[in-house]
Amino acid sequence: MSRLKWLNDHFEEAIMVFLLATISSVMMAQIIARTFAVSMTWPEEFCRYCYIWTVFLSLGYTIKKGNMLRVGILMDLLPQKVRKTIEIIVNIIMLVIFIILFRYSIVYTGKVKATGQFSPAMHIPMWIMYMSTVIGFGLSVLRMIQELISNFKNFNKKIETTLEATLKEAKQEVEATRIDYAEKADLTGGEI
Amino acid sequence: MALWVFVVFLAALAFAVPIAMSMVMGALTPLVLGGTGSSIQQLIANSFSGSDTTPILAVPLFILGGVLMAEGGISRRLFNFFAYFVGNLPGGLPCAVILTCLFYGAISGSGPATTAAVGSMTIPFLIDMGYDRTWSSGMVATAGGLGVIIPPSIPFVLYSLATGVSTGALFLGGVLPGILIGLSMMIYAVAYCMRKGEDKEKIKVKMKELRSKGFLNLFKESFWALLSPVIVLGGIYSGIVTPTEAACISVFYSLFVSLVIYKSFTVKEIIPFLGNAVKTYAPLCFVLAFATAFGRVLALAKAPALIENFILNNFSSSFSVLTGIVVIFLLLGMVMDTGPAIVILAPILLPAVQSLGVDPVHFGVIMVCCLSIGLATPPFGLDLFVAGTLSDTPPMSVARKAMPFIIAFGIALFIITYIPWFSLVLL
Repeated sequence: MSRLKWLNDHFEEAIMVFLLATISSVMMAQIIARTFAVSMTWPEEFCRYCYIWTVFLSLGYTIKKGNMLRVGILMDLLPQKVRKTIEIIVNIIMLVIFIILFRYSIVYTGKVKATGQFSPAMHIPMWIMYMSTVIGFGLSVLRMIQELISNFKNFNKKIETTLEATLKEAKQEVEATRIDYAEKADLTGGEI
Repeated sequence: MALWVFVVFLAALAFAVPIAMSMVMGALTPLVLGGTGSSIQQLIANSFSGSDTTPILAVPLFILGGVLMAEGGISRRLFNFFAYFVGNLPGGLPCAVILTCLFYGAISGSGPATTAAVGSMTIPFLIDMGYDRTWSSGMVATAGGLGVIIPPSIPFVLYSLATGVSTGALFLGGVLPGILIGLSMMIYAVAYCMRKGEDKEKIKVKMKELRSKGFLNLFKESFWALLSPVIVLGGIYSGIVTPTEAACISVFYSLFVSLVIYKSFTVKEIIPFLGNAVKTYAPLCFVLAFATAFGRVLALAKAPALIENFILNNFSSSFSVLTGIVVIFLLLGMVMDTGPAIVILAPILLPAVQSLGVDPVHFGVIMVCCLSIGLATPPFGLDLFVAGTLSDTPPMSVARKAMPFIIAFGIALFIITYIPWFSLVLL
């Protein structure tokens, strides 16, 4: 059960972290190889495809984390109940859009598969790359359903305004810089 | 049709629909209304091909490099270095803080992170030295947001992705405007200190302590951090690496400096930093992907041409158009994140201002300057909240003390907007 919970919390994140590490390492290896020996075309393509998977996984991740970029100030002016209701309607519309995108991404990936196209440098079948759209939109449908369930469960709880969210973000930002007080006090000190 | 796309898009934004999804809704509007537009399959294909470019990789890589470098505890080293030179002058310590912010922002590429890292060290120090608590916070909040103008800068990478203008040219274009803004804020800081007076005795003692370490020691400490932008920019302009590869090098350079030289973290601790970087750029990924798809729909609906005609018919000079655009950007920067604002608006507005003779690099500099000050303006400027949290002061009083700094920025912005020389002379 705890393993399932970990997957629920970190599935997209773990893959994205792995992809970021891979992109950096492969690109660095390519720069070194090019400087001292031969230039290759596959690393660049490989990195781009890693990034594409990141893009489509980022949807589920940002829905789960609740940090999709949005403009929230107008909604802050409305009463709680109205805001909650609008939020649920918006989420239902988004769910519908994700379901449509999910469906058509399957259709489109099927079409790409039918053309038998290969990637130019690595000769990987292109439909494997387009699977990122299927999996990405599929996961966003799942995450959106989770989000809606929690919307209904917490209907009577207060939701935070943009101001409160900003304050929370600011606190996290400050905590993230791990400068302890001892270091603050000893301004001119510090080791090399 | 273009009008309807905009109406749906803006309405969605107003209802707090995520920006990426607002673009999808806008993009689907022609389809629903039965006009000419992209089919859903084209939308998916466009969001795929919009992500399938090498330059876009610079965004996650620069963010990762910044996260790693920020953990290296370089803000203190930079501050000591600058304080060595200017600390004894009137208003010297506040100026050293502004310099640290601008330089640190260039390395980290994130306004709130700069405010947090520089502020957590310098705000208590300035208070110790007898400077006003709220004033110090306001200063760090404003200066922290502006570091992104000095290259390497992620907003410039985004502008380059959206318009096709060379990243290298934009980076160069940002150098002088960044310095100009820093100077104008420092002039105000010095004037303020001369008027209010400073605790000369305390400062003298601290400065003596600092000077006793010797210039060479301080230089050695800060050298590696100071070198980072030099490596990135040098690599790009010498033609050895592309901006994307330079971003990748900055990742490994930061790793090397933090692991080997400053020893600020160990190999085991790298994964949480990767997680931090993912958390920072994940919200941007989809905005970028759908911005391409949205842009194509707008182009099909002839929106850029319509806007160009509207501007050309109603305004005769680039002077009045730029004024209007600056005001819009400043307001937009207060409510919207810099990244989405750039990738949505730059491709729509650039053709119009270009036909009035505005250089694309100059326009990019104006756009980035305007939008980045949004981080320090109420009501939602994140930097104000970070600085407020650091110094235990309400964000709104920080905002009041930040106002003169924002006005100093405004004067610099005025000069940058109407004298293209500053943005273009280095190209």
